[in-house]
Order: sequence, then structure tokens, then C-alpha cells
Amino acid sequence: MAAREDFVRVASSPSIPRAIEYRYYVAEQLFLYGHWDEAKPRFESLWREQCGVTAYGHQAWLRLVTMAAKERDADRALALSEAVDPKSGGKSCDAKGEAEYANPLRLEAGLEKARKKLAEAESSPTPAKSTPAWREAALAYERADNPADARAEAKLNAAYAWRKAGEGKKAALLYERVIAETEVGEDGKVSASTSAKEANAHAYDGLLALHHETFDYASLAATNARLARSPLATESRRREAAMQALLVDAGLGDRDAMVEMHGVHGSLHPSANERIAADYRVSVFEYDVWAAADHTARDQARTRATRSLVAFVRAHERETSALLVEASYRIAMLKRDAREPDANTWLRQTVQRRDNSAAGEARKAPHAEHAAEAALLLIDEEMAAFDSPTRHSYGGTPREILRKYRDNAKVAVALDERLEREVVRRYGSAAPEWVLAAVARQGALFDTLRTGLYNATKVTYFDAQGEAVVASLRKTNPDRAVELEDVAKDTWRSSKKKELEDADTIMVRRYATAAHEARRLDIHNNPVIARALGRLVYFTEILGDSAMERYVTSTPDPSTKGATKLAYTSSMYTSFLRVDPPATQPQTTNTLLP
Amino acid sequence: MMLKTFSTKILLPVGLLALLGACGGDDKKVVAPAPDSGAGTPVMTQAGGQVGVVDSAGGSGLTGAARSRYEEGWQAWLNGDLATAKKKFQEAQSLDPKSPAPPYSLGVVLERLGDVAGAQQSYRSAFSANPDHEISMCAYALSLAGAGHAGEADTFISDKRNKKPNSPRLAACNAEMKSIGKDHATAQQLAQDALRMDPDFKDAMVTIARDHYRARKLDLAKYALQAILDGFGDASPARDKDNAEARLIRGLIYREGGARAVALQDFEAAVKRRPDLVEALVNLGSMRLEAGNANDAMPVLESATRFAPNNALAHLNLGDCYRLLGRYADAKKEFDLALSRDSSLAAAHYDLGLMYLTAPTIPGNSPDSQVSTAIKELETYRTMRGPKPPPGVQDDIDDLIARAKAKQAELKQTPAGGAPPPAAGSGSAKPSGAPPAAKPATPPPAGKK
Repeated sequence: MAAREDFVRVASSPSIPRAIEYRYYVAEQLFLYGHWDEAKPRFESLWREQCGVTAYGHQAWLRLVTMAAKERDADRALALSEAVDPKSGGKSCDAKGEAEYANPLRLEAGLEKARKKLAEAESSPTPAKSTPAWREAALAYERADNPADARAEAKLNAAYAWRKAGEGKKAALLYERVIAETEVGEDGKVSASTSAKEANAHAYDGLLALHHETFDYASLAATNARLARSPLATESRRREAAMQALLVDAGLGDRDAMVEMHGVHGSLHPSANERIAADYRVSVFEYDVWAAADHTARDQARTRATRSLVAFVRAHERETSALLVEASYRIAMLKRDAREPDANTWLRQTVQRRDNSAAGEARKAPHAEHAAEAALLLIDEEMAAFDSPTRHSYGGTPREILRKYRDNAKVAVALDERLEREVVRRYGSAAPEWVLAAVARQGALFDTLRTGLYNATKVTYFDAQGEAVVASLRKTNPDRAVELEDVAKDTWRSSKKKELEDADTIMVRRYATAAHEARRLDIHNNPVIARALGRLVYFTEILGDSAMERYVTSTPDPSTKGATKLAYTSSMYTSFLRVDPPATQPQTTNTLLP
Repeated sequence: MMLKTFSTKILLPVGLLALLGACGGDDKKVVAPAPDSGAGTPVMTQAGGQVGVVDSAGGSGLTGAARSRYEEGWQAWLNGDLATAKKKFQEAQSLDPKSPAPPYSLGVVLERLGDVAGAQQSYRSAFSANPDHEISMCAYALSLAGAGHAGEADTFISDKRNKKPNSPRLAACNAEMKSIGKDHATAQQLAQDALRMDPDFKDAMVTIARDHYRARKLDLAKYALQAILDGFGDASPARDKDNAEARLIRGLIYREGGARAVALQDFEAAVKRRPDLVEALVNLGSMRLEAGNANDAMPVLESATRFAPNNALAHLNLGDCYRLLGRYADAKKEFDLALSRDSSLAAAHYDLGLMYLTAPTIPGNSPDSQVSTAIKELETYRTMRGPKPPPGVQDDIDDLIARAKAKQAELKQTPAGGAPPPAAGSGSAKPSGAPPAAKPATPPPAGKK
């Protein structure tokens, strides 16, 4: 290098070919060995002197461009590019050779400048005040846009920056352009390049994010629907988009769009779980319409809802998804609402489908609650027959009354055991609300039983034979007759008292268990439990505080698994009783300024 | 290549989970916002409670005596002392008539006190003093709409929007009014426009969620609330995770759906952030009452009546709270206040009837007059509610009236000096001549829709 430097120094004319060759050699060696600070001025002078004169001018320019690019000096690279572009007032050294580098160079340089702007915007310490920075970044990316960029980095990042700058419309237009350009190429065909697919995916993600940011759910559904049909997206991505569109359409109440997306989703080979989730959302749509319908549209809505849900169950008959529990339960409720005779069939299906599901979702709330409610309703018809007032209307002699009462008591005990077996133990903590409702219902059985006996006041103390004896005694020995009558009355009262106490003990225990646990677990608005509360208040008046205290404080506390007993304070159930006030409606409430 | 799009997709969940932390808190001292705080910046107390928002001027902008009066009014407001707050804001206004802050705050206080005309006049003074004071314009329009002058409110806000087409606050305000008027499509459109003007404008986000809630599009309301409060993972973080109004709406949705634990957490968080948010206070207090926790419900409901002395539901719930605590005279006063604010509140008659029926003694009442009042109130309730209770309400009204009448009959047969207690624990039938017990228990069918 030193010898060649000497030669250059002593050569009288710089135009001596060997001297130029040696100058380039020295600059090249400095470039190759990383001494760019020394190389740059040598290449700069060679480029300036030899541009359009010898090939070394173009070669020197190329080295300068290389160094600017490696140093990510976008301004310098862009200046070098413009310096050889006659359109920008520059002088070309080798038009053909420059063309190969100038365009990519301009593109890359423009992108590099835009990237710096983006980084500045992102690092803004006060996000609220970063809008101008985002705007600058967006504009920089728009300037750097080039149709040759298959990755569409400039458009996508410009869109991102516009989003951040609060220019949603501009961002959406750019995303739409990328989608349109990538899905249909210049030749009208779908692009197959990896870059185009990636750009397409990014554009969809960005557009969907934009709709999320602006809470624009109608556009969100529409964009997902387009993505579900995109020729560039993978099948799994399209399927996911179809499901998203379906969910949002359902939320928007757009039945037609939802059904259309359901069809698209089904054609994209969903897994069994994906298919059943989509099918259920569509079928339950009609149930939601029924639930919100006013009385004029209710019958028609119910028919549609029932048909839709039954079709769902039939289509998935052999599966064990928790959604089948839900569908069966809703069908049962629809049919009960219409007093259709096969409502119980669907209640039974609800219970069975929950039982058939060996583990997982179906055994947890809310599915377990629905199954528990169904199980309770299935017993309810028999309990309603037991509750019939005629069944508990007593008359005749004490023996006849007590015989009938004890027969009723056996039925009450059998129903109590059935509730225990089929609801309380079966569902336990998985369905606390309806298990406690079942406990309250157990209490109601003994309530009905004891109230019937309590009201039994038309008593014939003697049978025909005894009455004849007493009648005879009234004439012959009135004192003895009165004595016999008193004994008969006392015996009846004592038997009645004992029976009532036995029934009261069970009744209050059951009611109190339901009431205390419901309060502990914050279970509210269950009609069966609410009824139990009302009865506890009533019986506090009828039986008195001391009796209630005795019954309640001998009741095992389920929260301690029976290790302790329930607590009682005077007239405590009065405080359990209240009617819900009307619901509030959220309004904008003005607040103060500091 | 450095692509700045979301790399993680945002997927709408079918069921939404709330992982919330919330607790109560006592907030008093206000941390003054930075002088250059932007519009909508929350004003916080040291304990984290949000007690206001910075307006477009970045604070009251008052100085000297006017500022002192204003700050005294502010402290009174924080304590729920609206009468003092009113007086201090009036003084601040007279000391600096050119500032919009005192008349705006006075308007808020007057509105809470039920002086709607006075409030509207104050809001007008605020935006007359400063034509850029958008908060007072919005408050004025909402007050008009709330007073039943929706057309006038619409004309007013449209006119203001024509003059300031790029104001996200006015657009969001217009959206809220359309939502109240049940024009949900326009409401959504306007709120989205507001977000396009300012993607970070919280009021517009909440308006979108609230409008979906009003339109009973609960899935969409929940999506919007998740975006505000929780976000959708790293791809889309929460937009305003502590937003009190969003918490309130989500609490209402949870409460309706029976998810009581998370509803309670949301109401608590809303109240912590906005101690003046009366709906959140009422719901929180009401839920505590339902859970049998009258002691904890009381301060919350008392606060609700302080911040909204005209709110009938706040008085109704507070009355019920006092009833459950045995403070019958206070309860009666609150029930009467509730009915004076809203005479259609059937539940107030139910609560009064229940109180007169079950309270051992109510001062100023003989046993006979007490039970007569119980019957009268319960029958009023039954007449007002119609033949059937509202859906989901279990009122046992027929039983209660039967019991009250039985008690009345008992009293009539008892010599003066008080009725003997019922046949406690005897297990036998009532004393001869006593009316029969209530009809045999025939519990309703277990099913509910």
C-alpha cells in the first residue's frame, strides 16, 4: 500500500491509468480492513473525479453506497442515490449499474428514516402527546412506499402509525390496500408468494385490531367474514375468523350474517369441539330472541327456539359435551313455558346428559346447577300432589286423623329421602343454589304436613261405640262423661303436639339450613329459598322465639360439616325478608372539576 | 423487516372472566393534577379515589380568594356536604365571574340537589364564560335530556358540534344522548367517531359499552368492557383498567347474571374510584343488604343519599337498611323521603308494611295502629305491583297480609295492655278462637326461567 501511495504521489498526472488504479487499490484495502474513515474521502474523490471518465468512478460510488447502507445512514445513502440521478439534478456515472442499486437504495433509505421516526414515536415519554410523532412516522412510511416492496412494510407500518395518531380512516384504507393488492396481484391472480401472504395476514390483524380499538363491532364482524374467505389465509386462520364473525354477528343480533358464517365455519373442517361450539351458538340465538320477546312475539319465538335447540341436540346426540346439558335444559324450560307434555322428557335428558359426562365442564356450574334444577323439577310434580290441600284435610276421630297423618308422613319422608338422594347428595357443592332449594323444598314437605295437622280442629273424639257410651253416661253419670271427654281431648292434644313437634323439628332444620347457607354463599333470588325465608318468619310468630331457637340451634351447621350448630338470635329471620327494589339504570353522572 | 401490527390476534372469548382486585377505601386529600394535565385526566385523592376530571383548561385556573373558596367547596363536595359546596362555589363564582369552573361545579351540585333549572343556568354561565368549556356544554345537554327536553338538547349539542366538529367530547356527549333516546345505531356511530378523533377518549369507550347495555346487547357490552378494563392480552392492553363507570356497568351485568361475587368487586372498585358515583353506591349497599350485612351497607347508602339527596332508590335502600338495624324512626323517614321523590315506588310500601308488621314497637304507634298501618301499606304494595310480582321477585305478599290481619284480629280479642305472645312452642293449635294459620304451605314450583 505504501509503495502504491508513493507511486501516486510522484506520478505527475493523476490521469495516468496506473495511478488511478493504485489510488483505488489503497482505498479498497482500507475499506476491506474496516478503516472506513480513511477509505471514505479516497472513494469520494475518486467518484467525483472519475465519474463518467473511468469505471473507477462508478466503483467508488458503489463503495460509498455500501458503507452508507452498512452504517444505516439513510440520509447519506439517499444523497448518494440522488447524486447520480439526472432527474434530481445529479450526474450519472454508469446508468445501467446505478439502476440496479438506486431504487432499492432509495426504498431502504426511506424505510430506514421512517423506522427512526417510528422508534421516536414509540419512545415518547408522554403517550398522550405523541400524536405529532406518530403522524411524522406515518408520513415517512407513506413517502417510503414502493410498489416493488412485496412485504408492504411501508404501508403496514404507515397504517400502524396512523392508528396510533388517531387517524383510523387512513389506517383502514392502507390495510385495505394491502389486502386488495396481495389477494389479487397485478395480473389478476392470487399471489402465492410468502411475502404477500405475510403482508396479507398482517393487514388483516391490523385491521381487526383497529376495529377493536374503535369498538366498531359491525366492521369487526365484516372483516372477520372477509378473512374467513381469504384465499391467502390458512384454513385454521379462516376457521377462527369465521367463528369470530359468527360470535359478533350473534351479539349484534344479525341472524342472517351469523347463519352465513356458520356455513363457512362448517366448511373449513372444524374439530368436533369447534363444530359443537359454533352449532350451539347459532341454535341458542333463537332462545335469546325468545327470552327478550314481548308477549305478542313470544309464542312464535318459542317455537323457533325449541326447533333450533332440538335440532342441535339431535345433531350431536352421541356426544358428551356440556353444551348438550345446556340445550336440553333450555328446551325443557321452553316446553314448561308452553305447558307442553314432554317437558319432563327434556328435564330427564338434562339430568342424564350431565350424568353421562364423566368429568369436566358438564359437572361444574352452571351446567350442574341446571341439572340440579331439572332433577328438582322432576320430583316437583309428585311433591305438588303431596301438597294438595285435600290430602291434608283431616276429620274424624283422633285415631283416624293420626292414621291418615302418619300415612302422609311416610310419603313426606319418602319424598324427603328422594330429594336427598337425587338432588342434595348427587350435586352437592357443584350446584349450591339448587341443592339448597332442594333442602328448602324438603322443609316445605314437612311444612305442608304439619300445617294440615295444625288445622285439624274438627275432631270427633269418640267413635260410634264410644259416643254411645258417653251419651249414655251423660244421662246417668254426667261427671264421668265429662271426665271421659276431657281425657279424650287431652290425649288428642298430646298426640297432636308430639306429632307437630316432630314435624316442626325437621321443617325448621331444613328451612334454616337453606336460609343460613344461602346467606353464607350469597345466593339470592331463588324462589324456593325465598319461600323458605318467608315461612321461617311466619313460624317465628306461630311457634315463638324459644321454640325456634331450640330447633335452629340443634341444626348442624353445614359450613362446619356439622361440627357446630346454627346460631339463632331473636326474630332473626325478619331481617332475611325483603323485596328487591327496582334496578338502577346506568347514566352519565356529571362530576366536579378540581 | 419491522412490522408494527399486532402479532397476537385478538379473539373474542365466549365467556368472560374477571380477575379483579378491589377494596374499599377512605379518600380525602386530593392530589392536585399537574398544571399541564390534559382534558379528561382523573383527579385523584391520596388513597386512589377519583373525584373528578380535569377539564379542557387543565384545572380550575382560579387564583387568590376565588381559588380558596373553590377549594373549600371542593372539600365540602368530597365530604358529601352539598349545601356547603353550593355556597362556596357561589362565592367563588362571584369572586371570579370569568372562570367557568365555579359555575360548572355549582351546576353539578345543584343538579344533585334537584335544582335542575338552577343547574342548567349554571352550566350556561360556565360555557358563556368560556366558549371552549365543553364539559359544561355536555352537562347542560344531558341535563336538558334528563329533564325530558331531548329535542332541545339535541339541537343544542348539534349546534355546538357544527362549530367544533373535531371535538371528541361533544361527539361522545351526542352519542350518549342518542343512546338515552334509544337511537342505538347513531349512538354507536357517534361514539366511534369520537374515538377516531381521539383513540384514547375514555368517555366514548364507556358510552359504547353503556349503549350496548341499554340495547340489551350484553355480549357486545361485555366485549367493550373487557377492552376497557382488562384488554385482550399483550396485543391489546386495558384501555382504562380502573374506569369507574365501566366497572359500574360491568357490575350491573354481573349482578343481573347472578355472578354476585364479581359484581360486588366491581361496585366496590367503582366506588373507590368515584366516591360520588351514586348508582354504584346504591348497588353496593343493596347487595350488602341482600347478603345480610346491614352494618356495612349503612355507610355506603348514607353516602349515596348525601351525594344524591333526590335519589329515591338511595333513600329506599337506606330505609331498608335502618329497618334491618332496628332504627325504625329513621327507616320511616327514609321510606317517606323515597316516596316523596318517587311515588311509584311500590317497594317502599312493601318495606313499610313489613316494618310495621314485624317491628316489636314503633314509637308513636299503638299495637293496633301499627298493624293497621302494616295492612294498609302491604295492600298498597299489592295494588301497585299488580296481580303478579315482577319477574324474579318473591314477595309473599298474600301471606304477609293474611298474617297482619290475623294479628289484628288477635289484638281485637285481647284486652287492652297488649296481646299475649302466640302459643310459643306449644305445638298445639292456637288458643281457641284464634284465626287459623296461614293456608297450607304450597311452595311454588321450583322452576324459574
